[in-house]
Amino acid sequence: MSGYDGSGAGLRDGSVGGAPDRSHDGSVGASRETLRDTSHGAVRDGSVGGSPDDEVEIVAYPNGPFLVRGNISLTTPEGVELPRDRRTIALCRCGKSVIKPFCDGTHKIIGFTTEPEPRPES
Amino acid sequence: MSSTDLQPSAPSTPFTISQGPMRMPDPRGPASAAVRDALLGIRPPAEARAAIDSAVASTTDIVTDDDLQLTLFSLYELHYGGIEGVDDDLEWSADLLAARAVIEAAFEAELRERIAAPDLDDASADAVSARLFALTAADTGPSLSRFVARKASEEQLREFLVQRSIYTLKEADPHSWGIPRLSGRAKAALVEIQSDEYGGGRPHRMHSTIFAKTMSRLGLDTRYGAYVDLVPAITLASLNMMTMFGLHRRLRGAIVGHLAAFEMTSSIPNRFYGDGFRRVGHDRDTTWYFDEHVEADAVHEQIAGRDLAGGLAEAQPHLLPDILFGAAACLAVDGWAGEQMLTAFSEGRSSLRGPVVVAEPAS
Repeated sequence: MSGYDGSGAGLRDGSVGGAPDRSHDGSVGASRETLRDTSHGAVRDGSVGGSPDDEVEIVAYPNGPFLVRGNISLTTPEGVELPRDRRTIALCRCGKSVIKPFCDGTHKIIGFTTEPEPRPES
Repeated sequence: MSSTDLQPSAPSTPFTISQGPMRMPDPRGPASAAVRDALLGIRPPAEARAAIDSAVASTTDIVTDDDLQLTLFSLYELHYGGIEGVDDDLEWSADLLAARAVIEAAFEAELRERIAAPDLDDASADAVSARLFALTAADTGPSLSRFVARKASEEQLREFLVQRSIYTLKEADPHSWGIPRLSGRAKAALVEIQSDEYGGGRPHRMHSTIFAKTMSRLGLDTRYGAYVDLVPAITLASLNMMTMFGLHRRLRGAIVGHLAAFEMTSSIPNRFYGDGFRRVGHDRDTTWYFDEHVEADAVHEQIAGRDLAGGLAEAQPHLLPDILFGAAACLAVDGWAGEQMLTAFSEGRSSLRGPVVVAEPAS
């Protein structure tokens, strides 16, 4: 992780990139947010957040799952946080995964297909 | 296993593994004996060359040649965690690198001769991803994972872990060689996958470490290379091929294609592997490695197919044939390795070169 953000001379000691999330078992998203805030705060006049990189991104992969990046909260209808073990997650789109809401690759076995994604009108 | 292998950490993190130098493997023929002597400083590195030239000239099948695959494995190990008693400077010995190149040239030529790479004219990420998914879906050879799920005994499960430990205790490392050779979308994709492989910054979640935990639950030694002397040439060939693809910038397309095919043939077999361990009564701690891969590789295969392989093909279309070759090579060689195990198990014999010494399983 050294060199996580090499854009500022003051960060070259690795203090920003070193050892994320080793001291607690909180969500990965939270730890990522912390890292971002730290680096932006150090490099850019103390302004934190607001970077386009902090936005949630959901990518619809053809004939496959939705991949979700960014700091989202995944919960039950009662608001109980679901365990999330990685930064980027794949959400089941075929309905047949046995680890829903996550994808387990079953869509490939059942021949699940998606329609071509609509193109933006221009 | 001795307690010195285990480094205590937080309660949920039984141990981390270290990539220390492995024990020197036993030679399997004249080439590996000559290289061992060169590595230990008993004979000058230049003398290993003649033994390797001769072994390469006389081999009938380099892919399953114990002597040559072990020689290549040992020389490659200098670039990973190293071997006990070997001077670190020998990693860059010009004589050893030249000797290694003789094996690599013959190995690569044999793989290209035997493995038909699929054709594709369209280097768009869309087409590359679709082609790779089709290729991996068509890979319907004898299924080791189904055998493990339904029939494997505890002893066979242990053998399976021993065989897999050669790669998995350094899981992801061969593909990491690709990172500095890529740029843009493909690089971001590879780093995103590798970061997850390495635990996202949490050492106890590294896939190699989770695998070591499974090994320890079955009473196996988790030190890297503890079982190298027991595994057949084809198992070494599987890792050697990845290392060769990773260490040569020329072959960056192949290492990318290899990873894509690897990820695309992982989540479903890993569910079966986990089923096999559950069937004989193992708990979630033991099957964590397999359960983790069901979820993780369903993410990785999408990124690897479209963003890594597809991204590289779009940026450097001339690499497309090697991307497809790397994918086909992954399926072929791992198919041969799986078949070696499956055949032995089906015939009621060991797939290994000797018995596994089992310690008291860790709790």
